[in-house]
Amino acid sequence: MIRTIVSDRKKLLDLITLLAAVIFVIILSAAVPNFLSLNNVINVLEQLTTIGMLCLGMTFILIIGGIDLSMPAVLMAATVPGAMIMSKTGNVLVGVVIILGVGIIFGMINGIAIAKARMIPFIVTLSTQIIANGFAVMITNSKSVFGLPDVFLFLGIKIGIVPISIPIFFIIAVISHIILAKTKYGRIFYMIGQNENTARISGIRTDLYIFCTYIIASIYACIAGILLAARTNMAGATMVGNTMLTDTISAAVIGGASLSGGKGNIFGSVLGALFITVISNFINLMGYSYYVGLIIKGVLIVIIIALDRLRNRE
Amino acid sequence: MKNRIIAFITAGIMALSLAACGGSAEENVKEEENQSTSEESTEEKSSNDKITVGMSFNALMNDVFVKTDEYTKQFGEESTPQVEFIVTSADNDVSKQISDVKDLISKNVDVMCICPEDVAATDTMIKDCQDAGIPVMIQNRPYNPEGQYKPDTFVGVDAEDQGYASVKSVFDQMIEAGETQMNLVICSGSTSDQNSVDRVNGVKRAVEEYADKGAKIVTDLDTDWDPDWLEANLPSTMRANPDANCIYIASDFLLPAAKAALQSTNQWIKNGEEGHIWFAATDVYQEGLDAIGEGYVDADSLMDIVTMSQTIVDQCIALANGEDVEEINIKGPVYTRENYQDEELTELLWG
Repeated sequence: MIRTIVSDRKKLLDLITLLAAVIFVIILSAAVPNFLSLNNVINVLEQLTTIGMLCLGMTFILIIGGIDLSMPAVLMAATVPGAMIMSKTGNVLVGVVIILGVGIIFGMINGIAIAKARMIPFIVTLSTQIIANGFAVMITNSKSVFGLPDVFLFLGIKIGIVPISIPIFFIIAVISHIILAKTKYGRIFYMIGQNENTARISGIRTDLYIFCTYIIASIYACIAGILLAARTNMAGATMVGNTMLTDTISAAVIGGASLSGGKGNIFGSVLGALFITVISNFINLMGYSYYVGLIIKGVLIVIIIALDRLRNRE
Repeated sequence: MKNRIIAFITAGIMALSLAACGGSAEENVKEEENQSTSEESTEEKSSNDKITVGMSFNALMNDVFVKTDEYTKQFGEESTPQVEFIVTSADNDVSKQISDVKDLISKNVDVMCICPEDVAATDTMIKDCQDAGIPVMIQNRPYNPEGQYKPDTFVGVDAEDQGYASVKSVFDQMIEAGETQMNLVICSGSTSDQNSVDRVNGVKRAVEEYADKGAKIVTDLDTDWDPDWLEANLPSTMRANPDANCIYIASDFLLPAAKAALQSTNQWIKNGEEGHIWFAATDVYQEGLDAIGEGYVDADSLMDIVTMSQTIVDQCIALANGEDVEEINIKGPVYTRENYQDEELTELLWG
């Protein structure tokens, strides 16, 4: 078996990456008090679910050569109306359908503008971000919704000491990995990202795939919103902040996705999201001042991405 | 893929070196203290132990929060026993603030002190702290009154009184000057900022109280804390309401914009001169104090962060010792031309 693994260079490198991450964790655990305590590990994994879920969606987008700046804003814009309905009527099913429906509408707006109207993804999703933020503030009048039904809050509870959101995230990550790595559709995503024109000439309906990818990303944002709302028992225009977007993109790029498209995988993205989460946890546990923490986080991200680029250049 | 391996290892080494620099002997001593403390019962805790407080701010991009951070640290060092604050900032992100609080719980702090980004999210954070057996204080911004979980205490400024006291002072001055009509334009902050909402509620209470003496609200401009918006819209409001003769701004943060707007309508006129617009404000920044001295602003109520910070430190010590404490809303003084140079009031200035 070892020979089989070693013979597959990609798998070997994945294994070494995992090993490196484990070494990294051991180094941190030696340096940071309580880092490997069970409570903190669960805490980190729970924090991972929001950024990780957004990162999964962003990975699809980056692989096809796009970018979606609206994901955190769509998370809020979709979750808020659904939460309002749930809070008022107690009907969880309708609430979840509204969350997914609103998210899909934003995904469709992005998809149509980028795939059909051939507009620049950066500008389109930046605009959608503004619209989604405005929408979230407008319908709540800046007041967050709370008092969600107990049935919905089930998604935020713990079984034993493990929050349900953690296994849900990893199950979705595995499904995403299978779609990207094991199916025809996954290969088409990579093909479009590497060279859209070639893919189109090969008979692939690239516009349809790009359109669907933006909807997929929005659905991931909705799932992240559902899990976050269940965990916090609230939804509002401040559910996620400005740094969530940069963290999401950084995590995907750290995980191996390229901003120029055609690269990336779910395993790397989960690892990237975990890395970003661990940095924040590390800064808090070490008790660094807020400003020093920002610098540490920024420097670490830049180092990783710079090394990635240097290596690719070689 | 190799690049990522190198990157992770480099990051690990860097983290280790940062930890080595940041942790130092003090950190090690603290860790040892924590270990030994956990073995002791609460009763056996010496009064000379250092108390560790997890301080979770919603953001540290605003003077109010930055100064609270500075003063609590300063008063914590000066107090007996000493109080050490481990500070996090959530960048106006509710999910990050909840994560920050959980990180601080992992840090085994003695007391948790939270300045919440969103009132609705306080329930979750209070529950997390109380489940971990950590007493929790909400500071500056209110907690969810309809929530299932209540904090052990609340320390904040009485925002409602700030609006009320400032406008009341101006109304009194107007009546003394012989004004029979008090037509007020309110420049509020943001509807998502509970302190801003409370300030405006205080203003409305003052107007109701003086209604029989001619006080009324002409209009309420919701600036969303955007000075540019105020500068652009206040002139048209003043032109549309020529009978408006007094203004309230929810913070001196908006004062430069209000000044520019009134200058554009030739209404930035000193007290005692023809056409003066009576001016009430809140926060007492340097701009506000200067404008009081020059005669443009007539009353400015203080958000007393100095007293609030000292109270936070005192209550953290009490909570760490297992004592019951009462919620406190601190009322700030009002600065006018008569008293703004008083030494006692000058000492409270932070802006």
